[in-house]
Amino acid sequence: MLDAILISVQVALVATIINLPVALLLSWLVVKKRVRGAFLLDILASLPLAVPPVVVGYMLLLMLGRNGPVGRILEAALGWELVFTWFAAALAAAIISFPLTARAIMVAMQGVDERIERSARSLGAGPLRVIVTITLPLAYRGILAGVLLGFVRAVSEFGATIVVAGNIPGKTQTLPLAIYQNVQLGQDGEAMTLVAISIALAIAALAVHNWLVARANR
Amino acid sequence: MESFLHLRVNKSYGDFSLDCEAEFDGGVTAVFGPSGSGKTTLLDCIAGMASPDSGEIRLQGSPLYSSGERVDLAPEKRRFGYVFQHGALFPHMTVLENVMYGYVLTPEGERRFEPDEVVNLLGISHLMDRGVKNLSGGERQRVALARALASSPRMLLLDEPLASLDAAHRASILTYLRHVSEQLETPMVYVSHSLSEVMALATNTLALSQGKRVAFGPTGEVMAHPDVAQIADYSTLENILEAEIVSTDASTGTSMLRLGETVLVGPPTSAVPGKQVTMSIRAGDIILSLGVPPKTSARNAAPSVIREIREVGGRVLIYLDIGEQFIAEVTPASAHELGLAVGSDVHVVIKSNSILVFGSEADPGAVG
Amino acid sequence: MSVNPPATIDSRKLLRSVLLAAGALVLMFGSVSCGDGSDEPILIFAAASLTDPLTELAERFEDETGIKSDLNFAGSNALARQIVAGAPADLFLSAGASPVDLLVEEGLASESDIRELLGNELVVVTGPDAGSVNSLGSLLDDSVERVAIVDPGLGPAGRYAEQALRSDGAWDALLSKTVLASDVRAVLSYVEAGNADAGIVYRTDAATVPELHVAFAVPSELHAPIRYLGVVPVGADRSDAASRMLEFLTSEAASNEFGRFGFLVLPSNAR
Repeated sequence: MLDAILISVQVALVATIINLPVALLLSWLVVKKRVRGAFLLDILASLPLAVPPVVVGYMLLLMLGRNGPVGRILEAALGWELVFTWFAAALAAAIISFPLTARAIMVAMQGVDERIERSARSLGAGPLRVIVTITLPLAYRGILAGVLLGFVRAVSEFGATIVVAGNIPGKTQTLPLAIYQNVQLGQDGEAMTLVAISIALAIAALAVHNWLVARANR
Repeated sequence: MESFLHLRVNKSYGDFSLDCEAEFDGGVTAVFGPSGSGKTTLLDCIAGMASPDSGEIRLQGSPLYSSGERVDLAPEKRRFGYVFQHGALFPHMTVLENVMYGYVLTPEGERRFEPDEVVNLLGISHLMDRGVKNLSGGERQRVALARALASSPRMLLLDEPLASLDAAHRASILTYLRHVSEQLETPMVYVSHSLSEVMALATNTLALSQGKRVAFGPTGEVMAHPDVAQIADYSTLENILEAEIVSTDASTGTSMLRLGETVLVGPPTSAVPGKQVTMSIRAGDIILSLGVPPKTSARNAAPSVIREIREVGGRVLIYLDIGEQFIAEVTPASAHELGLAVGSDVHVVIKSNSILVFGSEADPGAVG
Repeated sequence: MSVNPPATIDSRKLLRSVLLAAGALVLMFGSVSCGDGSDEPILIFAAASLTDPLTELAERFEDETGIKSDLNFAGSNALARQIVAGAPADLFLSAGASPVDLLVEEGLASESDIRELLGNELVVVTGPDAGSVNSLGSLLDDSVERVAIVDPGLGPAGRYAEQALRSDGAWDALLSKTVLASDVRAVLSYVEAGNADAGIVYRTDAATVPELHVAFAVPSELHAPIRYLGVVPVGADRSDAASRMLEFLTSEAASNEFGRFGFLVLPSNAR
């Protein structure tokens, strides 16, 4: 049981660490740089919301599996077999939780007055310096809120995870998978304990999230 | 004369298109026009915040933007200080950190002003440790100016910097801007829809309407250009001038103000004698009299000479000299009746309560 | 007044934390990295119903041989499809033959490698007070309002139940009061909650809910034999160790352990 909690936290943490830079870059491209095709990027970022997680997991498995294009390259080049490892679970959780993180970060970046960023540019700051010294400090509460929201979603990820990472106790069995297995085996008591832990985790993270959002809106 | 800034800008979006050519010299140039005339777009193109569709922008001959040479320098490479209407201060930094932001990014060899210097000039030294969130509107604009100046910009670009300020703050910031232009020898492009601000500050003016150049040249001429009359609201024209308090008299509720060689009787003020203040007189509130006027209720009747007469938009603007130039506005009928002509000696009659006096909000000792 | 340049602390702090996070990621990554060392556990894909006995047997196997196992439990059909999609299973333990047949069709298992492990048995469960149910025919009594079975399209337990009811001739008459559930677990909870009066499930599953009463066993001649099959997929990374595990699972000791959990121990282990 402790295993499942630790794996969940590890998987969700790594998913969040993977997502944050990607979501920041994408939000910046869409909201600030307004690159050509920004609206497509925007839609792409939200796609995992529309596709059933099981399908996402299956596509990941086809890509990363031993016959998949990416899987074959990783195996040949580095000897890595990602599927059915906790890292595959983290990848699945990252993709599923990405829209929540990215959307929140986009909103946070939209909230940063462009004139403030332009002022910094006119004072001699290049785009990267503006991001680091102006945009991120001003948007960080919203960014943190997005990260927490994504973390909560990553902790609760089930559908994609079970397909691409399996349900291996002590390795890839996260809280939701452990709950599922306990329910399957009729071990309702243990299932309920894990459910309670999940809910406690979610409440804690969402409370921090709401607090940050409230402060960001002030 | 080699121009300081050469502009030829084409840019369209939607059904708006900006198409404008001009040569700015190293003084204060106003870009005047109603909202939607494209003046902010033009300023953004100069700053590098927006890219023209085609054209050229050259600073002292070297290209900042050129569609022919495929040059489009990033804003940070142009080193122009940009000041927005609301200041756009960095809200997560103190006033000091705001001012230092551009200074530390300026290569040492290109630093012309030290932070102390601009901070003192703008009278904000007492604000340095404050956050920017509870500054007044006028303080914000002074901090924004100081921040821009501390980066030793090659030019200051100001986008309606006074538009959101009340009359007193507006007058005070105008004074500061004058000091900046005189003492720091930094060229300025000043975007505004206010005739009074443009008159008070700019040597030259580019008037824009619907993206097209309507007139360009010395401010006085541009303001009197018949096509500018279509876009300018002369009824709000004010003379914004600097004056020195000579004395105040609490018993009569008046003050004496020195304006060039003339001393005017003004409204009571809390400023002490010797102080520099900013005063404003609406052009329409000035009465002209041929010869010494008989006794009137107005307290001021000062001799003056007519330098120029321009008739625009059904109004006659009389450019007068009483040691400082200012403008009176009369109807064509009375101008004709009086037989006013350039070179005529007239007396200007001004009620003391037509004069508004604004003490600078900071210690004027630091200003000058 | 003196003005000191404030250091750009913000950006430096940010950079440091980014680097720290990246470092942590690299360290964590270390634990993913493969290695072909023989201490790499074998990855066993097993039908969910085998969870408890297999967990114990895998520990015993490790004690005896030093070979570690990772156990991945799910529905047999889902597992087979994952293997087809590229999941690196070293050993597949399936409830029912059709998931294994799928592997054979895809060229991922050869017929000759398939071993029969165990059997199971269908039973009818009722709530504690439904005393009159004692045969498939008795399910037609008016005292039984609803009977829950697994949807035959979704799971083998449903297919076996349908076969048995058809052979008995009760299927058509029973259809109007049949409730279809997504899996055996759902059937058990319908009966446990009183939403169905009786349900048809595997004996091993019935044993996990002591509150339920096993009314009778469905005669095994009424349906195709219920079999658990084991196979080492073609191209498994650790096929040797996996074959040893499969052999161990068909040993007498292992069979006794399975028997303790209610599984039927088969006389021989060839298919």
